[in-house]
Amino acid sequence: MRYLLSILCIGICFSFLKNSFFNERYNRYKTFPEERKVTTQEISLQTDFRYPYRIAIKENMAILMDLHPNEYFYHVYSYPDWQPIATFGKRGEGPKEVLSADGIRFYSSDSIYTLDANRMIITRWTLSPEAKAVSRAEDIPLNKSLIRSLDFYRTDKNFLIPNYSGECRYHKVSHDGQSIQNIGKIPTEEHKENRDVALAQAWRTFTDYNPKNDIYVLVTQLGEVIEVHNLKTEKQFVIYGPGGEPAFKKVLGEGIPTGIKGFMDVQVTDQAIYAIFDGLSWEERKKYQVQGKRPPEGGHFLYQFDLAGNPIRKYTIDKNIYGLEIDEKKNQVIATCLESDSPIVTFQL
Amino acid sequence: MKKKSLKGSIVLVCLTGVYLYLQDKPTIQLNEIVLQNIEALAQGEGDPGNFYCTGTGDIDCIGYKVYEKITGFSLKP
Repeated sequence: MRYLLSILCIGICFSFLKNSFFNERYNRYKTFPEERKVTTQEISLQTDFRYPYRIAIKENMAILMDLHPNEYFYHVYSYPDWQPIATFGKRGEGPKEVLSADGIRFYSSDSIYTLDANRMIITRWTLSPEAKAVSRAEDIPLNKSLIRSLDFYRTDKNFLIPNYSGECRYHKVSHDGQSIQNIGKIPTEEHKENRDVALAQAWRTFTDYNPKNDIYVLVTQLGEVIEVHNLKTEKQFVIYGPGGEPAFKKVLGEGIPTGIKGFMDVQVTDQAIYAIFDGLSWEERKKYQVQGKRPPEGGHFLYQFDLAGNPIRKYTIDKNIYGLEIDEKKNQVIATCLESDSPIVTFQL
Repeated sequence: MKKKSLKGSIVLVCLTGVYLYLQDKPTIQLNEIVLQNIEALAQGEGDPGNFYCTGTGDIDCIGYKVYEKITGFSLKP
């Protein structure tokens, strides 16, 4: 009888714990302690953008990236008065032209780095504001073992590049493009046995790194997962939001999105992590199309987390935005926007 | 008497727990089967499936940035 009771007790315990313990390995957040609504202001520019996607600001210069341009991917402006200075990264298939724009990192006027995933090249450009010109300084071909790199960050020691094969989470890549270290695993709870390209595609991330606090953050384009890597202490935090892990199905080896579109961009400041979040499902988008409406493009929310990935504040924005840059001195967000007349909007935090 | 009813209650709770656990599992399996069948119907029996890149957006799809990467249609006549 006692033996039977023990088995039954184990059964009941297993029943209650199996979801929280066996399936849900990572921490969750459901809500934010504080919520605010913010109103954007448009900044008019003299340039026509087809798909203003990313923004990078350094001191008195700003660069905007057009994801689907007619001619040039990158546009340089003075900041904060937004006067056009130069364009670079001509779209095309020629030897000095750019096939795709997958990221921009702006360190100084002689260190502007861009990523072309279709060519698998990181390019360093130099900017001469006086001459109003940007010139190609260095091409860094990425090793073929990386397959396809969709985001990057250049540290003093190496490049940090998310993995595309599913075998690890990200790579440390030497400044000449060679993979030198594979780090971590995709923090999936549902597909632990199939770590392949389809999984890595579904877990495609946007990343940022802050050299001051050694925090490297990855946020998922699908679903709602934030990964915080402290590169100094090697501590890692993985936090799932209500959107859960990226949902997909595998067809012909490819990951096909099925759930929600999640994060759009991320920035790590000295004190916090800011990420733009969408949250709309593909099913909800279809409803817009059925009604003859254009589905929202970009995220309606800005999430603020602490440096361990814990939620601090949720901002609801009156427009959908894509790329962000935080001006900490002004406590202001500058963001790219597809749905307003201007490619740039700002709002106060 | 009290001891007996306490034991009885524990057994009842445990049996309920085990019942709930056993009930839970087949439901998940059934949902998965139903979903697979729906997908199979959408794609056509025996069709390994195909996928398409449509529109302009930021979803990476075989070298293009598209609005969506979809499946569920077959080009077979």
